[in-house]
Amino acid sequence: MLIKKYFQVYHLFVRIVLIFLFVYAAVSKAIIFRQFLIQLSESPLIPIYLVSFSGVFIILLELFICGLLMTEKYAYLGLLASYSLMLFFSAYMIYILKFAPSIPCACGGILGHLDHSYHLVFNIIITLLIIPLLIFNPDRLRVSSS
Amino acid sequence: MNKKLILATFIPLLLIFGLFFLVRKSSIRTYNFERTHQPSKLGILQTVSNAGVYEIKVHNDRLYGTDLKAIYLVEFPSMKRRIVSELLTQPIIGWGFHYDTILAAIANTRTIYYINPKGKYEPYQKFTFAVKKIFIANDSIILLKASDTSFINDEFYSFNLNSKKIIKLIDNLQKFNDGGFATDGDFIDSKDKIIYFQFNMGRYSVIDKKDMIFLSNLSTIDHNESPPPVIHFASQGFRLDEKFSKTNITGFVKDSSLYLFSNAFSNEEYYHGAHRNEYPIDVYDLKTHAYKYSFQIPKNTISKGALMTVTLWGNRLFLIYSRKIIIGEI
Repeated sequence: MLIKKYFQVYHLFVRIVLIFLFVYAAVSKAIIFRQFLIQLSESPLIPIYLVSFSGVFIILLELFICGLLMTEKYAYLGLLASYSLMLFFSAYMIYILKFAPSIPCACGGILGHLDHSYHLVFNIIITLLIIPLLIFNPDRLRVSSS
Repeated sequence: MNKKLILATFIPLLLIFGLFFLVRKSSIRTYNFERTHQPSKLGILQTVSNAGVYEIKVHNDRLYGTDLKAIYLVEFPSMKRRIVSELLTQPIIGWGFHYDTILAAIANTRTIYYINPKGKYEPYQKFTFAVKKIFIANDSIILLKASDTSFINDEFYSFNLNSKKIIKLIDNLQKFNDGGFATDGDFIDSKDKIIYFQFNMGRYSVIDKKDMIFLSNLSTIDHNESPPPVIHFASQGFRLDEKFSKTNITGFVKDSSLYLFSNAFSNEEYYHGAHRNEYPIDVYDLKTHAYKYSFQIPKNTISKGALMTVTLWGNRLFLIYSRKIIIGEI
C-alpha cells in the first residue's frame, strides 16, 4: 500500500514536471515563433516545405499533450505521447550531434541555451522518468478510497 | 510487454529514420537567411561534401581553390578538384591572377612566383624584403612588406608588373597600428576599388585601384575600434598577451555592397534569439559607406568542421567549412 502511495506521488510529480516542461517549451517557442521557424529551417532533418507545418504542429502537440496530462482519464495516453515525443527529441538530438552538418537548436526558452550534450542528457532523463509509469500503469495501482 | 509502450517507442524512432531518408534522398539543403531588421529569405543552399578546399577565387568564370599547400581548379557543381600547382611544404600566403598566369607568394621568401604550365613554381620577381601578403590588381601587385623585427612596421607597397616600379603606399592606418592590427588584414576586389579589412579591428579601408592610394578608413558596426591589449618587448618587438578571435574574417563585394563576414554581433544587428550557431554577414553600401543590414550563416558543424571562410561567385555564396562546402544564392 505504501509503495502504491509513493508511486502515485511519483506519478503526480512526473505529470506536473511534464506539464510544466511542455507548457514552457510551447509558450517560449510561440513567443519567438519567427526565430523558431528559422531555427527549424536550419534543421538538417526537416525539409523546407515542412518547416511551417512542423513549427505549428510541435507547439500544438506540446499543448495537446499538456491537456491530456491534466485529465485523469487521458493521463496514461498523455504519458505515452510524452514518452514518444521525448524519445523523438532525444533521437533528433543524437542525430544532430552525430551527423548534422550544422547544429541548429529550435528549443525555446532556457533549454535553447543549454549545451547540446546537456540537452540530450536532460531529454533522456525525462524519458526515463516516464518509463516506470508506462510499465506499471498507475490505474491498476490506484489506492482504494475505502 | 506493454504493446502501447512498444508502439510509443518505435513510432518516434521510425519517424526520425523516415525523415533521415527523406532528407538523404534529396541532397538539396535549404536555409533561410534573415536580414536583421527586415526578415527575408535570401537563398537556397546546396550541400557539397568533402571538397576540401577552403579558399576559392574566381577567374574567367572558373573556380580555383587552395588548401594553402597547392592551388586547385575546382569543377562545379561536382566540386572535384584538379591540382594546377606543385605541392609545397611552405604555405601559400597570397595568390592571384595576372591575365591567365597564377602568381603566388610563399611564406618565408622574398620572391613572387608564377606557376608554369607544368604546375611548377618559377621565380617571377625578387624583392629586398619579405613579402607577407599580395593582391593582384590589374597590372599592379599590392604587397605587404614584412618588417624584420615585428609587424608593427609592416608597410604596403605597389609593384607595377609592366614597369617593375615599386612605390610605397601612403596609408591612413598608422594611428591604428599599435600592435600591427591595422595592417593585419586581407584584400577584397571591387571593380575600381580594393577593400582592405582588418582582422582584429572593426574597420576597413578603401584603396583606389588606378592611383593606388588609400581613400578612406571606415568603422564597421561592430565598434571594435581598439585592438586588444598587447605586451611590448623592447628587444623582440611585441607579442599579444592572449589569444583573441578575429573581428572580420573575410568579405566580398556585390552590386556596390560590401559584405563583411564578421565574428561579432553589434547592438544594431542583435535581435531576439541566441546566435550561438550563426555568424553575421554585415552589408555596407560602398558608395555611402552606410550600414545596410546583416544576415546570418551557420557557424559550427559537428562532423564537418568549422566555418572557415565565405566566397562569392556570381550569385553563388560559398560557405566553406573545413571539410564541407555549402553553396547558397544571394
